[in-house]
Amino acid sequence: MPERENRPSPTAILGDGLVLLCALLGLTASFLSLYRTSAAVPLIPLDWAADQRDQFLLWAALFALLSLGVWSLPRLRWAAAGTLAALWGLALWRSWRAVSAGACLTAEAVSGLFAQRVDWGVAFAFESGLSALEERAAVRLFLILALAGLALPLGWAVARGRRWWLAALLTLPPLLPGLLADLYPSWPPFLALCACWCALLLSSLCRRAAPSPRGRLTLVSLAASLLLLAGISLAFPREGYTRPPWARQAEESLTSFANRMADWLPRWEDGPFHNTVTFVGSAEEADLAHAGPLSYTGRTVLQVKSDYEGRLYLRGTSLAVYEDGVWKPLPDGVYDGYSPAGSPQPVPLYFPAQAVMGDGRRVYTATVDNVGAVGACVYAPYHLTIPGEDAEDSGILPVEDAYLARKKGQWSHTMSFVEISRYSSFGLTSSVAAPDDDALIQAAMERYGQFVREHCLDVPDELREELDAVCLRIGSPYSLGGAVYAAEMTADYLDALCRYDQSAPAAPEGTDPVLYFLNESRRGYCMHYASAAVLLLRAMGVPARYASGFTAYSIPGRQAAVADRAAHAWVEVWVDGLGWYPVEVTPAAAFEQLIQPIGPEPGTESVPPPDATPEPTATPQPTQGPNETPAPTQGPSGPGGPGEVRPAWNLLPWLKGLAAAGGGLGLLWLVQFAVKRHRRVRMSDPDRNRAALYAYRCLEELARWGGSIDPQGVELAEKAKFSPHTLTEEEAAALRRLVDQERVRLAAGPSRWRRLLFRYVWGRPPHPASESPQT
Amino acid sequence: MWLRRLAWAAALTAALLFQITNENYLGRFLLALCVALPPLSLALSLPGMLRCRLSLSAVPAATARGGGAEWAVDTSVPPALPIARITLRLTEENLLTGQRQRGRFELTGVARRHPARTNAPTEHCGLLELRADKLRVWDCLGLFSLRLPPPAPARLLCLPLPVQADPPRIPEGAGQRPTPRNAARRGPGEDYDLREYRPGDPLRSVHWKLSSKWDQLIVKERAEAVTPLPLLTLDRFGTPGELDALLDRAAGMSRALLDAQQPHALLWLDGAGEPQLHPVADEGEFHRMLTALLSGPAGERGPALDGCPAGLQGLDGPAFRIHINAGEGGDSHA
Repeated sequence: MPERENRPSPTAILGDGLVLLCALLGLTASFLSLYRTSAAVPLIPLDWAADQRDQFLLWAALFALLSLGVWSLPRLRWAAAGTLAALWGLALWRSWRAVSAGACLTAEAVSGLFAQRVDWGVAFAFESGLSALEERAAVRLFLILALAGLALPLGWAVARGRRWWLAALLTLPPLLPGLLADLYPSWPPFLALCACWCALLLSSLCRRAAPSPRGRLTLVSLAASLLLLAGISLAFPREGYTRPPWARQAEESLTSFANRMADWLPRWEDGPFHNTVTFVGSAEEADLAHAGPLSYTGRTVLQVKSDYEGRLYLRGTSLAVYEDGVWKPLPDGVYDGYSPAGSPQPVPLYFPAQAVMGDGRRVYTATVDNVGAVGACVYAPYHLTIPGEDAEDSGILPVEDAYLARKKGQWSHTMSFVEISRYSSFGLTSSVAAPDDDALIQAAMERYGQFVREHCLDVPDELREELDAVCLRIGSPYSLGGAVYAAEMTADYLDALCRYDQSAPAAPEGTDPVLYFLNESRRGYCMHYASAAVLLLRAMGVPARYASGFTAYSIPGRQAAVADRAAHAWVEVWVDGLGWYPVEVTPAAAFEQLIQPIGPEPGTESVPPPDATPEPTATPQPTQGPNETPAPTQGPSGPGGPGEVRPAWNLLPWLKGLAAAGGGLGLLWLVQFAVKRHRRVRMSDPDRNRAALYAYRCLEELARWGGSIDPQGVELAEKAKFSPHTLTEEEAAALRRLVDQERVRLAAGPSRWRRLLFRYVWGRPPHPASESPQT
Repeated sequence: MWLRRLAWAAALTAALLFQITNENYLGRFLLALCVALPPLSLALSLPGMLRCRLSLSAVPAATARGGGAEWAVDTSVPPALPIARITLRLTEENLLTGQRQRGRFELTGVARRHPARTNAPTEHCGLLELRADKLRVWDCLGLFSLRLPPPAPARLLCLPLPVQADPPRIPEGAGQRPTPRNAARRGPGEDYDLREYRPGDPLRSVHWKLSSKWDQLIVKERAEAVTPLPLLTLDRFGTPGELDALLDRAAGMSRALLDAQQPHALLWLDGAGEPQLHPVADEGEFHRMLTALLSGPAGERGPALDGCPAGLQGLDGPAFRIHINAGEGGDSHA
């Protein structure tokens, strides 16, 4: 038997012991410091435990030494480990109530801190019914037993298995919630823990070396790792750290690249927006029902340059159907009646500009460069003029009345538009009509107005009664002042009724999100305001629909960098003789968060925006009511439509999945370990005949994998079975060698998956140069 | 090792992405660690990597066919720290049959003198040679490697298993021929032949009486029975199995002659068709003959030895040719 198996040298024991001490002490101190609250008086039992750190460190050192002693035994290691495990189980059993209470209290403290820091964290509540003193005792007992339970497998990973990844797997999970929540442990202990991982990693390839050299390497690696980590901490101090600019720029570039790459992914052929122009990645729905708290990365998604000064509403998609808390586009079939096949119809999106072009208005241009916004639509300002001859080259294709589709691979679009102020729109509602000289447009506009009244006044029956009740409280502004006025009155009402809150949670299951917003939570952001306003306006008889996109403040000659936090949702109302007209319904207080910075030069940092409260002299933008506001758009509906806002990302299912996958892998490893150990023990049975017969059975099993049984093996097995004599050591070794040879041969089989499976079942084949004949 | 490199690249990419997308300090710390760890590993390993040496040998140097023999790969490294991994490609070649086998070989955790053994393929006779190339020594993380000069090849003689054989009986008079001898030594009743004088004949052999009688120089030459040299010939080609059988018989016959203290010689044609004659009079010559017999390449087909080539260098005197066959049909005498 080689020396390395049974007789660890003093150097190896010293190296393994130091690594184990680093791991357990580092973990203990890091854990206690990580979850400690900053309160002077202990708020949670872990605070008290952190105060008693030295005591826990002593326990950790004791367990580390005990584990090291067990795993360094030349013989009967597993028996000793089993005894310790049994003692540990006995202690757990005897003090189960206190330990379970301590575990729950610890989990409560950890999850509470985690939930404070992370939106998606779930705080675990536990009522122990114990006094403060008992709670401390319970936590203390739990932590000590947890340390004891951890020390044994960790000792195996360090001293016997020398698996760095197993050591990391055992020591990292207790710290992971805190690290994910941007909490920092005490740095020196954490460095010690990292040094333990590094030392194991550096010596992992030498785990089969003789004990003395391996021990030397472990010691040197540990010292070098500590020096390296200390050097890194000194070179890049934690205090005053800010993310470097290159990282921010890289993030924006990566996001933009990933977004653009989506154009070249397979198209969603069955999607309702499927057309000659690609529609990739951007959903055509806004899911209000699952719209939870919002979060932003601050990355730039659009770059806008225009000769217009003022706020621009860059519309992505307009949605007209509200079903089960989700905004959807009108089905394709409904457009058939409006635009009979074979007769080209004027595009409704161009109606407003066509309606006012005769009065000599100034035409502005805007260039919108999509650098990171999802969706296949063009984010365009309102009141676009009809493109000229080069419409084909513009890369814009109007898709019914819902959105402007973007040509695949084209990300920058220049568009012309006119300004129509809120007051102009009022006038239009009563007197302005389409130009007399264009009968075709007038007829189309009338036909489309009829179409709008047919499809954009729908309110779900189950909401009708409650919405009517709310409308009564608002009054009937439509009859007095027209659609835009009605929308502004509705916005005023919502402003008075509800509070703008980006962290508003999603509506409970089974509840309509609009009613929940209006009647219960009264907290929400642009999606809630716009959805509620559209339904209320429809209930009043005003044709309205839900629009989403971005807002930006434009200064001539400068390029506006539109960040993701400028994503927004608003309302479009139908104005007879004009077309769709945007109205802001989100409170003004929110707008300051959304106003777009304007870069002094294209691509450079921005300048504070002008006054955030737009005057009624609006631009080609939506009417900004007196309470003009912003708010992000698009719900957290994942690949939501244009004007995407990244919602809070629910990591919990991922964590569960990861934990399940990790558990599964761990189970597989355990099974493999047990089988390998069983085989090794049986092969080295002191009764050589029994060991030889087992080796022969292995040969038979290998034959089922496609191996062959050497006649010598059969002869030896028969001798072991029937002969009154005991096989010699050479004969038993020959039989083991036959098994090894078959394993080597089968492990190099032609099929990759079969090889993988074989290696899992039979383990890594012995090296041809291996001196040990054991399996 | 490519897996380790890929794993490191993946870890570095993950750390980079974490740094790019994450605001907190941990991203920078992990990135710095990922970048700094490989140089640390190289710094720890480089002294040992530079001084590592490797040698090849066969244990034992010769063995009978089917017997146990091993190749030994001995590594010598400095005593300070172990070498994480050494990889090389080993090529085993049977110089007789031309069979060749290649494989990757790997040593991990190499400390000081690190002997490693692997079985040598002794199924067939021949001179086996083990060569090593693509010899690389790796750092602790398995990311960097250094190429080392290849060691000298090792050789192992896989000898045939001699077949039990009786020494051949050489018929009487098969080698009778006239041999000039000193007339003074001849005894009574000896037979003589007469012939004309040829330049170089000793004057003592001149039969002066007859010369004066016949008026020309006549030389008397004794006719003496000389034992011919047994010449074992074999057609040294065939499949490895056929060659094994042939060599077993040849070695058996040669051994039998040697045991009977009968000097003999073996003759075969090498791969180029050149005759190879190896006299065997003692154990040393027997081993030299075997080494020569097992060394050169022998294809599955080759020139057959129909008869004893004329003017063969080293064959002086009469020879009794015994042709060795691989099959059971026995040997043919000529």
